[in-house]
Amino acid sequence: MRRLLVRRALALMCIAGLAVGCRVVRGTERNNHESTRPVVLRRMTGDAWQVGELPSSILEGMPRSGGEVTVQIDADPPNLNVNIDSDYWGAQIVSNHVSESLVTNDRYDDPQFRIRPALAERWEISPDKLTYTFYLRKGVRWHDGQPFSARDVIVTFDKIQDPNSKAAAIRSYTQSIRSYRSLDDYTVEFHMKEPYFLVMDGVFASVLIHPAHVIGSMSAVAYSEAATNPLNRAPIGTGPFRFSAWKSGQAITFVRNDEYWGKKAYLDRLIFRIVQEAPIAIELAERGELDVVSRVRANQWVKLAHSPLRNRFHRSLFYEANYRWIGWNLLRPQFRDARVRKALTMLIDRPGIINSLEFGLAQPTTCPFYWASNACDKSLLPLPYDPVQALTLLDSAGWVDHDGDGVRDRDGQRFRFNFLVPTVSEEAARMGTKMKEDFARAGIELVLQRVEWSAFIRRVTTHDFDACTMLWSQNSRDDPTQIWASSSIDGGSNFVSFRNAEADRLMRDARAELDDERRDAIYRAFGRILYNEQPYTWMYVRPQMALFSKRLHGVRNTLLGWVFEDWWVTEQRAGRSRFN
Amino acid sequence: MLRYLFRRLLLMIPTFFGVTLICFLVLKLTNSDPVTSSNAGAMSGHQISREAIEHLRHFYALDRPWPVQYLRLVRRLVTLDLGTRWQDGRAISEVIGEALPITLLLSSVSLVIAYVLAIPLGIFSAARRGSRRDTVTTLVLFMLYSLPSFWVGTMLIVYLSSGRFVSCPWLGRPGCFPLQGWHSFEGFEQRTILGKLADVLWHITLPIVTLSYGALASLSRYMRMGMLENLRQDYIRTARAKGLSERRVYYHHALRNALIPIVTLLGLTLPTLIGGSVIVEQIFGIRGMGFVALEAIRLPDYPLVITIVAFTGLLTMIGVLLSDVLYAIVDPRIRLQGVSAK
Repeated sequence: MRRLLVRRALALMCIAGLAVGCRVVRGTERNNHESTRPVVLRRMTGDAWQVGELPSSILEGMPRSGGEVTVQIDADPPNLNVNIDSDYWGAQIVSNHVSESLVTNDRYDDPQFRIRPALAERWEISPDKLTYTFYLRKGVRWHDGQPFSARDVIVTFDKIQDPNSKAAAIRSYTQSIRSYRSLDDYTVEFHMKEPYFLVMDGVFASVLIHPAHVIGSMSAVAYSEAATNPLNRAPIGTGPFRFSAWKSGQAITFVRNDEYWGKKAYLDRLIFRIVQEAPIAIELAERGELDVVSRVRANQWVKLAHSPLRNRFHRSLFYEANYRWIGWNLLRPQFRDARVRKALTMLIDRPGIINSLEFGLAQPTTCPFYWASNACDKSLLPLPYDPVQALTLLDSAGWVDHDGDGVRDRDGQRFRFNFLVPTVSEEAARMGTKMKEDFARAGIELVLQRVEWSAFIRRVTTHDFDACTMLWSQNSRDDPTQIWASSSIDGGSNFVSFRNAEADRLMRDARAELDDERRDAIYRAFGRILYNEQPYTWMYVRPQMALFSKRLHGVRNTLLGWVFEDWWVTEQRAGRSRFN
Repeated sequence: MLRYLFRRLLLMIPTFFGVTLICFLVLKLTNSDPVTSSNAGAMSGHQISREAIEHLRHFYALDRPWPVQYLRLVRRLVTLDLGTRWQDGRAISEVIGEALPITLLLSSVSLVIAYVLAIPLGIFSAARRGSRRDTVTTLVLFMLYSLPSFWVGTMLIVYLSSGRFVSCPWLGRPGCFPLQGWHSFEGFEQRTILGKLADVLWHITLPIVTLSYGALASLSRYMRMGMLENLRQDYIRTARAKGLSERRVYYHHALRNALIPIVTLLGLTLPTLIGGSVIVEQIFGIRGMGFVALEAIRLPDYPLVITIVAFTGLLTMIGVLLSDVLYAIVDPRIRLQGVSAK
């Protein structure tokens, strides 16, 4: 049904004038495929403001150079060296816009996100999928005017691969590199340890290249610290925007790079203003001091439904790649039986939780991957909320209230468990409280345990819990090995100790499969195993909600962040001239 | 006097170690781990992999035994090589250098205002003790004293800044005061010095009101109490018996003695001057010391927390010492040698 809606919407949009937008940008290398982007409709009722859809008119018209845009961010990023700290805002701000990688994912190509050239204009992959050769773009200049060459690539990888650098998170991908060298000034060659499908996404589209003439003489430790590496606070990149200023706690400013090698940006200035409190951000938007409120909370979203702001802003609701899950520790006798885990899922009123705790904005899911990706078997619908069937399943698994004390038991053991929840998540605590009541009616005793975040992490990584809940944030393509392989029980993120030989085999096969379609088929089979085993109860995907000023054009939500270089503005911002 | 000072200064050394050690142990006891807590809420599986965690623990030397970690931190403090903060790798001196001036500005201005208003107010109530005006003042001050600053701050923003209740049309924008920050977001750099000053003053008005009303209430009570106590003394009766004017009795005799506790309190406020107010800074979006400290504790960023605690501890000790010395200076009856000879 959803796919059908998608196609119909796509057709409608093309008729309704998206074509104008297409024509304007057609011919540039990066945008000529944009009509292939799938559009997902969430609700068929209400206008664009009510459903939170950016109207197609936002892409219409002739882009115009000039002007500035102020975007809210809710915290200072730790630094702008995304190789070191993969902070959300840091990556949003810097990746592709300021610093660039060898290749990049096409951000409009949802859900394939095919690889496109960036600093490398082309590349070759050897038939054994072990050697990657990149032919670098010539004539690219760093923002400080120095020429870009293979040495920059080599030096950047030297810093990241050095175990003394802080780049631990990105090294979980780059450790698949066996060796690398430059063949000449514009050719680099990487040898991998094994064929791996995430090499492009995780390494070559992720590692941002830094200028060798700045970082070449630094130690790996110095490279990691803002105090010793000026790039961490004031990046010098090759991208369409160049860094201008960063005032801690106030704003980070970028200006257009007029010497950019690719399609130049439209905006003169791009300002990220740090406004921590969401209500204040909306207040500032009302005054015309913000063009984008990037973090609207669910309760504010509901309140905004009838706000006069709708005359000046677009309201947008976008489902990123994440999912909330409840994990059942499979080492515990209560949770060993798949029938019990299914019963528990059926006892949790997921639609009710989405409606009451998430204001009806979250979206149910059953998929261990990015919800819209082809790796998801869309025919796997969420198990129904069905307490009656759940009780039958529990009975059949031998969990019956033998002693009549109101709590089910088996072999003398009561069905009682601790539900571990981090204190930072109010949402998880309320969920636990609701589950406690529902489970009590079914003769299961849930004890809510709230612990501080790092204690939570320590306990889940050491399997010291009965059940827990968390939100996984994902990428467009993910390798499930880290979370589901039996080898990841010790040291990985397989907290629930899931162990399944068939699933292990599928994950192993998928790793070496570079063809997206064939790999997605493997992953769909893998997803079906998880669905039948229910080691997690999949809860929902949480949306990201934002407000965009109507003077903004060319804006689209993408999983890989906003494409600021395609943004343009029609008019000057209202309401600030007199005061400043 | 000098010997006394010397002994007090020597005493600071063990106190310094005690303060930093307790602070370090408390951080350790909270069981929070800066490596994993840096990204609270949602995470990807890779960020939590044990390998990534081990790498970062090693990077921050968290894999060493805690006494070693503590001594490393103390060595840095003593050699004044404060190092970098974990959150973003910036030099701690730079971070504090950014936050301290604005906190100093806020707290010193509000302190001056509190003192300047509290002293006359206290004298006034004492002089008219029992009158209706005294009762009203007492009541109002007591109410002020009981109002929590987070509530008052929020109410000030809602009523004066939002523009929904009170507006100042001549400013060309909703509300009479800004919502956030200690200076204008746009166009601040282009202003003249006077323009900047006016802008900052306009921005810090509400934070200063929020910061000072509590101190004002308590200080004026101290003042009133001090005055009343002194007015009961025999020497006041003598002064009156001599036929001195009431004015002279109040301002020359009673006031000087009543000021003693107030002046000594000044020394004790020294640490709060740089400590900043977490709540007020949070509400008004001002990134002063309170803000920085809160961020540091959340992580927890050991080097930064220890630096701030040691710094505040040092200032507290100096403050206490200062108030003792001030006491001796203001009150000729107190001799510090006598105190230390005990």
